[in-house]
Formats: sequence, structure tokens, C-alpha cells
Amino acid sequence: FFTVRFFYGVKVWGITIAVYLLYLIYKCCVVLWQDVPETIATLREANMKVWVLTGDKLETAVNIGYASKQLVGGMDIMTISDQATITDVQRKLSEFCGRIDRGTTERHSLSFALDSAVEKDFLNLALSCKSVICCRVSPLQKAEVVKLVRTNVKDSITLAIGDGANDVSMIQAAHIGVGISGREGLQATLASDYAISQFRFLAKLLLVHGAWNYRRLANVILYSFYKNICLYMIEFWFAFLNGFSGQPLFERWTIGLYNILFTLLAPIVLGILDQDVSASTRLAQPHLYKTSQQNSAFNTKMFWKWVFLALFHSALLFYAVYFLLWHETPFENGQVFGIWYVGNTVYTAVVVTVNVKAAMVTQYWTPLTHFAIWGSIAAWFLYVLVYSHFWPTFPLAVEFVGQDFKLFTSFTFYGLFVLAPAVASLPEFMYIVFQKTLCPTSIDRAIVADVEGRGGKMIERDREMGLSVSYSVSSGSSTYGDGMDPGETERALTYKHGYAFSQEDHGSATKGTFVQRRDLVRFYDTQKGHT
Amino acid sequence: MATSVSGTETIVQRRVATPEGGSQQESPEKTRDDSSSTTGCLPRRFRRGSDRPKSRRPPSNKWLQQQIPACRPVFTAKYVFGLFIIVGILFLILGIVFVAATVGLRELEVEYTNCGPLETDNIQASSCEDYLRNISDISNSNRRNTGDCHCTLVFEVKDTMRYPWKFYYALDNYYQNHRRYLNSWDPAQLRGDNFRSPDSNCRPLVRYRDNDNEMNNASRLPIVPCGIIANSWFNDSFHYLHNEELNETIDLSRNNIAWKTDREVRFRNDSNLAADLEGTNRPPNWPYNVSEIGDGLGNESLIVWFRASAFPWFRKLYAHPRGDTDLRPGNYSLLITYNYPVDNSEDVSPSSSQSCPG
Repeated sequence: FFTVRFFYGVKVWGITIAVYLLYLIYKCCVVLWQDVPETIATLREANMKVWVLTGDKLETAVNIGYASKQLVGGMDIMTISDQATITDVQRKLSEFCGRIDRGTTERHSLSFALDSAVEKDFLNLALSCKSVICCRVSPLQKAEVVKLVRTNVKDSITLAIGDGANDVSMIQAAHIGVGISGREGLQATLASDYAISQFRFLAKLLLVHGAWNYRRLANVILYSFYKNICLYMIEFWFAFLNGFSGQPLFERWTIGLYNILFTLLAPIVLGILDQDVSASTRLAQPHLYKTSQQNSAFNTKMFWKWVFLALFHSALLFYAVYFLLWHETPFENGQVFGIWYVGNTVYTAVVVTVNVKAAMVTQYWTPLTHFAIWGSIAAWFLYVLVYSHFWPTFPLAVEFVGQDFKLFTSFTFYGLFVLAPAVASLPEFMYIVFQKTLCPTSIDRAIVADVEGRGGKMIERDREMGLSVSYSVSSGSSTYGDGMDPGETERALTYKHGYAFSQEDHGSATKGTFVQRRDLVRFYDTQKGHT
Repeated sequence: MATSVSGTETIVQRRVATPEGGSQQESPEKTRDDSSSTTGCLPRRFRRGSDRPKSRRPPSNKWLQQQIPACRPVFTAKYVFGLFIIVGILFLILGIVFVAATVGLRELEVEYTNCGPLETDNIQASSCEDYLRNISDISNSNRRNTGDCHCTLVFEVKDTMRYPWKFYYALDNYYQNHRRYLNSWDPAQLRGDNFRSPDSNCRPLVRYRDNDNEMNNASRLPIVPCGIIANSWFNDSFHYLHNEELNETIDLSRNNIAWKTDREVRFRNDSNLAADLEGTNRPPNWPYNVSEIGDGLGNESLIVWFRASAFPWFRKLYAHPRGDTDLRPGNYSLLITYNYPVDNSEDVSPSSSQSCPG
């Protein structure tokens, strides 16, 4: 969370910077929406930097800054304004750069600073500050600021949020554009990637839905690769035994229905319903957002881990069945089985293993999840039952005739159906248990806290701006986030409050309330009694 | 894994002060809204009816709010420990059952590729294998005389094989799971239909004429049953087991060696088979027609052969012992009619053996 505030000639104390990965740029309307300071504070703790780009004049922007806790008393505030030429701006920047990481700066002569000669300096200075506010910004300049950050800061993700038509260019320039619908119409929302109705929903959008959906998407993608590699690599292992002739081990339609019937629901459920940490905990402990920022769920290493797991499972399942059945006499009456029986046994093991893997990944067991995972396995048994009776009524599946009877009356089959997936899943399960017990990540701890009912819940905040902000924290696992330790918060917030007023007809704007002038007048009708 | 019902998670949010003016939406979709605001300076009851903002709240239920009741598993050691113990015990039991079931199994495998001495006098060859190879060189046709070469295999049984024991033949390095081999059959023919127009999957064994020097396909007769699987039908015969010391002979019964569903569904014997086979030919390697073998298309040995194996070495059930005798230890001799040549063709070189597991 990083505001740059420029206040001509006045220097107040600075605060050291936090490491940032995400810049949050929003345009501050004259009237503050509800819960803006809390939202910004939450986002700050979630390791994001917040810049304010506003079209208001300097003083208003300053007030807004204080009101939204972008600025706190005790901050070193550097202002660049009223600079006539580029060189002036340059001089100012270099002057401030000398005192790097100890300042907040705000810029008025944005157009100068965005000039390519100076922009790198400006950016460096801005990045080194805790918070940035730009005032009197035109729509084009908003977009340019966003682009400046986006192109020059490596590995940054920019999000722009605004509610008016003049924010459209900024919204489109950022990686993620969020539009707030309502007060000024829908232009911003029409141009944006996400539309919300109140600014404070941004916290939940990012911290809860953003984090959840990141994890869900990663899981769906990796799982889809895994399940298909697992099945089709078995054909590869079988090729060594069939003279590399290209004979599949499974019947044609069984292979075709793998992704449509037996492993369809698992990734759907993983992608729609899965939650790792509950919403309330994620909002109360914004630092958990860091794992999403660090690409921890979907990166090259994770991909190869899943692929390796798929290869391991496929080899294990095939060779387990192979070693058990190579004598080919599992039946009581001595009758032999053939290729299709072996294929169906392997296929059963694969379907079960793949669904058990989904079961190990999902952290949120709704009834639908149960249906998806166990139901898929049941669907396979049902399929065998039905499909074995197709031929000769339908000209299909002649290989399957008699398979249901032979499979379901064979003790070997049931043994394999239970044992093979268990053996396949066991190493990974042990690894998970060890990892979560011995070196849990913050997410793991948050999940445990959730389950034990200790998930952090936000306690009612004091409505007075900035006086006492408190969170209930679960033991040991949450911090106040970077950059603002508790003592500082208290001190910083005690003596600066912000109020923003405007001349518009919307009426006076104290925090949260919103009254039209005509109603205000009519309310205090002295002719009537008070009601 | 321990679970905890997270139940309906609601987020404690501050109350929403309802604003005046219609342009600001009230869309508290992510909050539980308390609409009785006490902080606005214009209490709700004061507003006229037409000023009351229409609620634009989107629909909200457990599904849309992603608050479906659910369990969250925890994979730390203290929760998993109990599950681990239980599953371990169950699998231990399963393992014990498996071991107990297999500990009494016994197998005996005897190779007879070069079995001798020959029982047939008028054959001058060291083994039936050589004899068959010489025949095919001489006669220039695929037809072999069968039933010519008999040999006796002598082997020793060390442990008793209790009844029920079974008699298998095994082939090694025989790729019944090759793609072209497996596809080369016509399932409709085996049910008695489609004699005249065999499936093209059976190529090249779709049509055949004996002593065929022409390339004319039309003069060839359709093969019943077509395809390589039928053509390569295993036709060695094992007649009886004779124990010298105990002077007992064990006959072999060739019933009930094929799957019941195969016998009933996949293979159907026509009552009028000989007549229906007019205008068709037998497979090149067969000495006689389908109608001339016992049970026609329902011949269990044929059915067993059609149940192709998954691996390049396999056993197929040949017979059950007739009667319910055990196979007692001792020296046994087995009379074999050796018909099946073990070729050194392009990729197959099987060696055959006979085995009797318990």
C-alpha cells in the first residue's frame, strides 16, 4: 500500500516501504464510499500497493488521502506540484531521490513526470514510497500511470478500479480492471473485467474470490493433465507387451467415455465448489493472499510434479495388475480370462485412483463433491453392468460380453480394486500428512484454524475513522501485514482524520452517510413536531 | 481425516447505511444486510413510499453465496492417525486372506516342444516338430495332415494336486494381443450369421481357394470362420494321463472350459451348419470344416482359443480331469497328438508346454 502524497513544502515523517507485488490504483471519488479505509488497510496487509489517482485538486486529494488512510500522520510526505518544466520536475525528483525510501510524494505535474525523460526517475521514486496520490489527473494520464507501472515493473500485476467514464482508459490499461457500478452510471463497468457495486467489495473480490479461483483453476488444469496422462500412459506400458502393435488395452468406447463419464465431475467440482480457507478467515487474515501472488499453486514445478505423479500412477497400476494376473487364471473354475478382463481391471484401478486423487486435492466436501467423486466410481461399475449386455442387440461392445459377470464375481478383481489405488495413493498421502504436520504453510495453518473454529473473524470496527482498528488473530499465524506494525498504527492514526467535502449536489459527505439537500431541509421542518 | 462442519459461514459486516437517491445500488450480495439503519440521519420511516429505493439485491442463497454446508478435511497427523490405523488393520486382514488363498496353490509346468519318443511307427523323424516342418515343405499347401504324429511325454508329479485341478496348455512368445491379430475375426460369423460375406477385418483370410494360383478374388470362397484367430486355432490333443505305479489312467473332460456367456451369447451353433456352409471354405490351416468338429461353432476349445490373451505368454484351459481324483505324486505319461507346429515365422516362435496347477 503505497501512497505518494505531495504537499508542497511540508515534510512529515516517512515510513519504510513494504515489498510489493501488486499495485492498486483507484480513483477516489469526492464522496468516499463506505469502508474505504478498512478496505485499503486490508489490501495493504495483503501485500498490495495502493495508489490514488484523482481528478480533484491537491487539497481535496490530501484530505481523501487522510480519510482513506492512505496517508497517516507521521508519514514523510513529498509533494511535486506546480512545476513548470521538465527540468524542474527532474530536479525535484532527484532531490527527493536522494532521500530514497523515506518519503511519500505526490505529483501534480504529472504530464511532465510521465515524459519519457523523467518517467524512470518518477517511477523509481514512486515505487520507493509507501503510498502515492496523484491529483488533478486526466483520464489519459491515469492510463499512462498504469502503463508506466505495468511495463516497467517486472512481474507486477496492476489492478485499476474506478466508477466513472473517465476511468475507462485506466481500467483498460491495467491487467485487471474493476468497475464500480452505480453512482456515475455503467460506463466503467462496461469496460471492466469485473464489476462490483461498492468499493469495499474489492477486498472480498481479491482476497476471497481471487484466491479461491486461482487455486481452483490451478487444480482443474493440473488435474486434467494428470488424469489423462495416467490413463493413456498405460497404453504405453502395454505396448512393450503387445509387440508395439498399437493395440489398446481397453475397449474403444470405454476409452472414449473416460473423460465424459468417469472423470468428468471431479474437475468440475474442483473448479466450482472447492474452497481452501473459509471466506471469513481469508478476509481477516489478508496475508494469506501472498500465496496467490507468488504463483505457488501453478508454476512449472507444480506441473512437473503432477506429471510425474501421473506417470508413477500409470506405471504402478499397470504393473500391479500385470504381476497379479500374468498367470491368467483367477477364476475358481480355472477358466482363463483374456485381454479385456485385464483391461477392465486396470481401468477400474485407474478410475478409482484418479478420483481418489481428486478427493485428496479437494478441501471442501459438499454433498455434490461426494456425489461427483464416489458417484464417478459407481458410474463405472454401472457402466460395466450395462455395457456387457449390449451385444448382440446393438452392434457394439462384443468384447464386453460376459465381463460384468466375470469381473464382479472375482475375488481378485475386488482385491485389486481396493489395493491398487491404495498403494498408488499412499506415498502421496503420507507426504501430505508429513508436510502438513511438520512444515505447514500459512494456508495449512489457516485451514486448521478454520476447522477448529479459530478462524479470524473481523470484529466490529470503531466507526470513528482510524481510531482503533483491531483484528482477532489466531495464534501465531497472522501479522498486521508489512509496513505497519501495531504501535505505529496507533500512533499514526491518532491525530489525523480526513474529511472530504464537495460542492456537488449529492450533499455533504461524511463517512458513509449520504443525504440529499432537499430531504435534509424537509426533515427539519420546524412547523411540525419531531418524529 | 477429521472434519469440521463449517456450516453456514457468514461474514460479519458492519451495517449498511441505506443511502438516499436512486442511483446508488444497494447490492449487498456479499453481506448479510441489516436494513434498519440507525445511523442515517433520516430514519427509514420518514421516507415517502416513492422515495424508498427499490431493492436491487440479487438473489442470494447458500449455493450462490458458496456457503453450502460442507466438511473440511484436515490432513495433520493427529486427525489422520485413527484413519490410518483402521485402514492398516483392514488391509492386513485383506492381505492375510490373499495369502491364505494362494498358499495352497500348486503348479506344474512341463515343456513338450520336442517331446519324444514318437508313438507312430511310420514316421521317421526325431520329433513331431521336425515332422510337421518337413510336411509343410513337401506338400506346398497349408493343409497339414493331422493326427499323424503322436508322442508320449513323461513327467513326475511331486506333490499331490488335490481335486479340483485343471489341465492347461501354455504357449510362450505368442502375441495374441497384437492389434492385427486381435482385430482379425468376425463376431457375427461365430453366431452363425454372415457366412457369405465375412468382415473385412479378417483380411487377408477372407476368401480362400485350395491350390490357389490365381489372383482372382471372385473365384475364392468365403472362409468360415474367417480371420487369423480362427486360422491359428491350437489343435494339439492330449488324451490321457497314465500313472505307471498306481496303474491308473486319468481321462480328460473337455466340457465347461469356456466362459458360460461365451457359449451362450457369442458363439451359437447352428443346427443346420453343414448345409449353411455350402459355398464356403474352411480356414487354410484347418483340415476340416467347422461342421465336422464336435459341436460346430460351439466347440469349447475353439471358444477358449478366441478368448485372446493380454500377454505374449499365456495358458489356456484344456480340460478338467474326468472324475474327481487327485493327482497323486508319481511318474505320469501323457499321450499327445502333436499337430500344432511351432514356427519360426516372422515374429512368433512359440514353445509349448503343458501344466497342471492345483
